[in-house]
Amino acid sequence: MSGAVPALRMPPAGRSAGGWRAFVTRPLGTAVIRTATLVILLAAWEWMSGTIIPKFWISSPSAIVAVLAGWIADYSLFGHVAATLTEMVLGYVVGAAFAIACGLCLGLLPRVERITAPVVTALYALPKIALTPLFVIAFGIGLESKIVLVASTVFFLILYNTLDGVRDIDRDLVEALEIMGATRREIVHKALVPATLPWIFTGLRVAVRYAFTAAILGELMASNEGIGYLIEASAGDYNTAGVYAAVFVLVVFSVLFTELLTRTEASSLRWRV
Amino acid sequence: MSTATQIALEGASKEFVGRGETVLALQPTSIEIARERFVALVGPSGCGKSTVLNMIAGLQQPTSGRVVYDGNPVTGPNRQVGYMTQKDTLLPWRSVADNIGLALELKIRSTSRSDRDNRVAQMIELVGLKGFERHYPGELSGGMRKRVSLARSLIYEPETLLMDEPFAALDAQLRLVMHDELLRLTRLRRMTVVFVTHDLGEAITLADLVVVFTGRPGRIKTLREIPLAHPRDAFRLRFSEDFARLHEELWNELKDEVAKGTDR
Amino acid sequence: MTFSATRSSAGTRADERFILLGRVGLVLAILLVWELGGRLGDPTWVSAPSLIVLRLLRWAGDDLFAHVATTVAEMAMGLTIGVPAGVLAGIFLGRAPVLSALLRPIIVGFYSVPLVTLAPLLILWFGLDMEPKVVLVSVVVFFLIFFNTFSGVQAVDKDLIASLVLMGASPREEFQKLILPASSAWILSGLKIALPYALIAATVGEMIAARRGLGFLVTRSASQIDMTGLYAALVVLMLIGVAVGTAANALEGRILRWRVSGR
Repeated sequence: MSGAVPALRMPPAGRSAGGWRAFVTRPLGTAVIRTATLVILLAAWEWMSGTIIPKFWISSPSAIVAVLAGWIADYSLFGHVAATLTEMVLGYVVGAAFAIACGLCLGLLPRVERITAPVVTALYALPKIALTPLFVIAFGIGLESKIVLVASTVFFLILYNTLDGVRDIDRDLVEALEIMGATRREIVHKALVPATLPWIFTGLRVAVRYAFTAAILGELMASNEGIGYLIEASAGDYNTAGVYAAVFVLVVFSVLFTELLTRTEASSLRWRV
Repeated sequence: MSTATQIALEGASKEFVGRGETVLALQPTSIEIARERFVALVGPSGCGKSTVLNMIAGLQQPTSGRVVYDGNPVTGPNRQVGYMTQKDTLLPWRSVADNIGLALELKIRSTSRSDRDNRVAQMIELVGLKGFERHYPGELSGGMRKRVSLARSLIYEPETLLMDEPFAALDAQLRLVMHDELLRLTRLRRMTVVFVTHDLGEAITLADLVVVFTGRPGRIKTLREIPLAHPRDAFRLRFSEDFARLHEELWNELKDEVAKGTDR
Repeated sequence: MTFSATRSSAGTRADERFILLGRVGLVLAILLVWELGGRLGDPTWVSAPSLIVLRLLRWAGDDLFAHVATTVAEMAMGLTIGVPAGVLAGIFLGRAPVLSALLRPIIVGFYSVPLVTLAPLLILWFGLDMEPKVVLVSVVVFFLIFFNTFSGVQAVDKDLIASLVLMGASPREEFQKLILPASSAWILSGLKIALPYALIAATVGEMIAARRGLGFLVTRSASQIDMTGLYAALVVLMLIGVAVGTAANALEGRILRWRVSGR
């Protein structure tokens, strides 16, 4: 027979919160461990360079900092960063604009889309960086060739996203609107655009990374400016410290972009700890 | 009928910490559930009913007090229970038959292949899914997936069955069929059942004891024995006078709590 | 009203023929315009399909296949190293929350950086031969597979895990019967992405510094301002790219046979 039993006072069940495991997973603990690890690694690096491992291979934190300081002091770093960013932004805007326009047109003309599909797929399959020499021959070694490269890289990505967006239209909604007597224009406004926008935005967000990569790669191949140029030029001079320094700048901006993008959408990074 | 206690909550409460706040989901609650009894927990949303089930299953630990199963405190996952949750946890890459037989594949049970196949076939027949053995959960309707879940929970004949609004998403007719099946199976296998539901009628139909919870933070408001005789006819029970009286009585208890909840 | 969504995807027989004709027609038109442009304009810059074909045939008799083989080999080796390593790391870290938390900044750092851009560094270390390309491909592939596997392992529905534990599954059975199949979709997805990237990484490496490979063919032709050669190399690269893309799509077909896809 069941019935209420007077409440018993007992200590809380379950594991007690304490011990090193808890410390490590708390924010403070994690930060401490990470900083400590970083400092230790840097110190070890500095020590190993020249003693155990030749400077050529790994350089040293002090040398790298020196190079960076030099670049900042003579303002050259800013010029290079500006060049890369310019290529990125201009290429991105051009590529995205074309892509959205084409995407919407093709989306609205399914027959045309299907006819052009094989050609588009084949062009997409070609690694765009392979086009760099072509662009350089056509546009020179300056920013223009990289802008075109960035634009062509970004184009396909956003094109496909836009197309997906157009295809994503809720059939029921379109039919409901048709029955209500909406004109084609109204349907475009009320059904097509809202359906496509999220896809376009996703494409735009993802494309930032690709724009950055394309700009750097283009500079690696042929340029006289930019972060990629710094990497390649230093490598050409066998200036390992310079390579690392330039890579460091690259990493800084990469992380910056990623953080920016993460914050503009809740779940962009697919993995979380 | 055995009078030994299968499950006991002794002043068990549960707090949740989220977004910087601490929420008390369940006030210190005590109750004893005897073996082979069918107990229904009813109450408004968020009153901690599911938490009670989780604590009995050992998936959550009480913040204070304790939960005792078969004389032993529950400190970790409780393998003596079968748990059928609201959300079905079928493995989407396995067929119906493989999903149902999952528990029998485990080493803890050492069932032979042929034995397992037999029992799976039996279960499929029992829940009326014959012909769907090779289908995948993604291809089934909600009701059918529920039946697979039920079969999966029952096949290894756990002592106790915990069910969290298992039939909420089913249509009325299917629900009656499931009630009938559930009553039959659990009495046959002499299982202890703890059943959470919103539906008072369902609770009265199925249970020997109905426990009414208050709104959040939940605590037990009323305990009511259901003296309706077994075996019960799930289809016709609703039209009996006893049923109506019980329903009226319990609804009075429950509706205040529900009203409180909706005012918020 | 011709939104593609409101039209059934099959279409009529006549429709299909029309599309096919359209496609063939489009390709022929492009080739024709190009050919004419090459003949009427300056062939050194524009080149022409006929010239490209001739060059390809000449190369085929020469060392084209050696270059193709080099690129493919770099891809294959990189994949062979990167995929298993990525899967193992992903599973291991996916199940070790404490370790993952600690390593998080490093992982985020690596994820943010386009690894292909580190090609010069690798070439500095390893020289001009295949090694740096293989390393590059391996590293790129590794991280892609790792992230996907890691996500897959993390994304396993906690309720599924709980239900299996209640049934009495040992940790090993939990892994075998739940974690692994559940994350396999993610792993295959990662693999699908990794294939084209392997090609890109190999190409980048070859374009920066190499003595063989398709990327090298491109830069060699470019440095000689040999447009026909350049286009020819691009065509071969495109064909390889299409092959890789087809393989990747075939993988997608295998993924999720059991999923009723809403999208």
